[in-house]
Amino acid sequence: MYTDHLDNDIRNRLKRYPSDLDAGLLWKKIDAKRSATSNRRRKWRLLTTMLLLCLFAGCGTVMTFTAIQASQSKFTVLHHDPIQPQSAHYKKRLTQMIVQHTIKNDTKDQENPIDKTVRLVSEVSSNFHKSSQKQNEFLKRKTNLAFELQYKSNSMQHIDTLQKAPPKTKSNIELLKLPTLFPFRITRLPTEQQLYPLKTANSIEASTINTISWSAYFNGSHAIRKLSGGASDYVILRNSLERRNMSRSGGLLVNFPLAKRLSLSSGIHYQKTIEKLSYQHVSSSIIRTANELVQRNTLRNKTHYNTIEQIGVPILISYTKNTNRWSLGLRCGSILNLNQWVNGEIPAMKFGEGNFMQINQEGRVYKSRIGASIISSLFARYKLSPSYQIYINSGINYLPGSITHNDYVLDQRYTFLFFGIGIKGSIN
Amino acid sequence: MNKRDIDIVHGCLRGDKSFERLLVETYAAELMTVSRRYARTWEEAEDVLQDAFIKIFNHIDQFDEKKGELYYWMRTIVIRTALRDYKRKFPRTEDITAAAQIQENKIIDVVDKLQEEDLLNIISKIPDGYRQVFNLYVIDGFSHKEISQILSISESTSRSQLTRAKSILRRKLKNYKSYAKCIPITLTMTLGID
Repeated sequence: MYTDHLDNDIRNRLKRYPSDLDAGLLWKKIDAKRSATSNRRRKWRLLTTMLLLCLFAGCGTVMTFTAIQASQSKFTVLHHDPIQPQSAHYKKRLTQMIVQHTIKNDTKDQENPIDKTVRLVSEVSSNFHKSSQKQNEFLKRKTNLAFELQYKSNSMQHIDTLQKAPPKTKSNIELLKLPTLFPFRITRLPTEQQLYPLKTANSIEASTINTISWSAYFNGSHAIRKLSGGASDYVILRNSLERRNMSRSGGLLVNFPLAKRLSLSSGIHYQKTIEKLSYQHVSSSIIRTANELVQRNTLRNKTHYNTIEQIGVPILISYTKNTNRWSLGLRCGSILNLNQWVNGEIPAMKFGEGNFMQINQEGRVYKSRIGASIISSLFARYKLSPSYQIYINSGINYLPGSITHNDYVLDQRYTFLFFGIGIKGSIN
Repeated sequence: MNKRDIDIVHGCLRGDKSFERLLVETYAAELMTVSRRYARTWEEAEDVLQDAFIKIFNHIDQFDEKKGELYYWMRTIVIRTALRDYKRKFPRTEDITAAAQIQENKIIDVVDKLQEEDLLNIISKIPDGYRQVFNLYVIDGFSHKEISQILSISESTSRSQLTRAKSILRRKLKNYKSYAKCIPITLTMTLGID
């Protein structure tokens, strides 16, 4: 019979029976397996961390972008001034409508001020909606939200009332809870463009971007010089002795809007180009010894920095594509160079004899007035506030004409590759 | 718990590899027997044991010396690892419904005469599901309620599987007895002894 005795027998015999196992070998296998698992786990942790970082960064970007959108004209965040993005005219018109409506219909003088404000704004909104068929659908959807915002802006005036006399009606309680329940609630308001489609044909951007504006900029340029029209030996000599350093330019522009995306800019442009001239100067001296006179030649390394300064008037056409915060565009035109100043020295034609020409003493070399350059650039602007934008731009400025006189032995032309930053502000 | 085990646990908690190695060298042989009882083959048992030791090292901080000896804590981990490994490899438990009804024989004597290795070999030939219940109940001392929780089966299933496991074990022991009787004859024939 299979009895408990058999169970006990089997249990006792196998309970802690040791198998014939090489524990050392097993330990090595376990250790190797653990190391592999640990490495794999480390890689997974790293990967997961990176993914999470990317996720957070992505979410952050999306949230930031959403916030940027929300802070634009189409959106208003409740805890900010809800009227701020709208123009004074819009606010004035809205106020007028409310006042007119109040005069006509203000029969309930004993009404709670909060209820009164709520009622008036609601009625004004509904009247406005009726009068504007095209905007009706949109505004119907926005009525409640506009209502909330207007309520909030008006309720700021009644803050004492709110604190002293708690709201009695259910709607007031719900409205009062809004800022608490949704501290970052983003609420839509009808934009000025939607309220006044004819007036704001150029969109709400017209008030911030397509108005007359000023911009100041600073560019760093790489100057590419081209010498031509002379003896090749002299060209090689000058190219070997002179090195083109960075050129710097800056200016101030006034921008006039031509169309929704086109604008004309003009102002003042200044550019300074520095060239480094280095050579070995040979000087000789005669030393009297006991019996004779000995000529001694000495070599000295000399370095000069030649400067070419130009000033001109840019005339530029800009095409800009605007998004909520960013503006991308292309700018091209011309800079009418009015004057230039040069300083330093250049190797003379007979350099072998050690001659150098002082640039400022040789008026026959450089022109005092030069023609025009062609400029083209791409820019990206970021809107810091309704009035200010910062931007970066990069482009090319080509001087087709020689900056030297025609009778000089060499033509000297420049092309500047520039990259710069700037700030733009609107002029109200 | 003896002082050696305490030292080993503390060493493992510090991450000292020499103590981890000492733990393996001390208990590997006994735990291998446990693993063999649940695994199908030696290699499978060794894999299970390796995984179990890795779990033991990773969760050594959860060992509570007040609740029992280190060996039994590790044995539980080995058993659970073996069962989990089996479930992973064979998601559905083999359904053996036709268990042979074997007449009762005097098999206790056979067991007494068997070596532990032979006993392990015989147990390893019991179908997996029955073997697991048999091992858990008979050798490792779990109740049917605990077995039902461990294997995610009902208590009645655990009981019936134990019965069938015992039946199969009886048959195998009987066969083994016949086989053992044949051995002298086979040896005689092989060696040519009269």
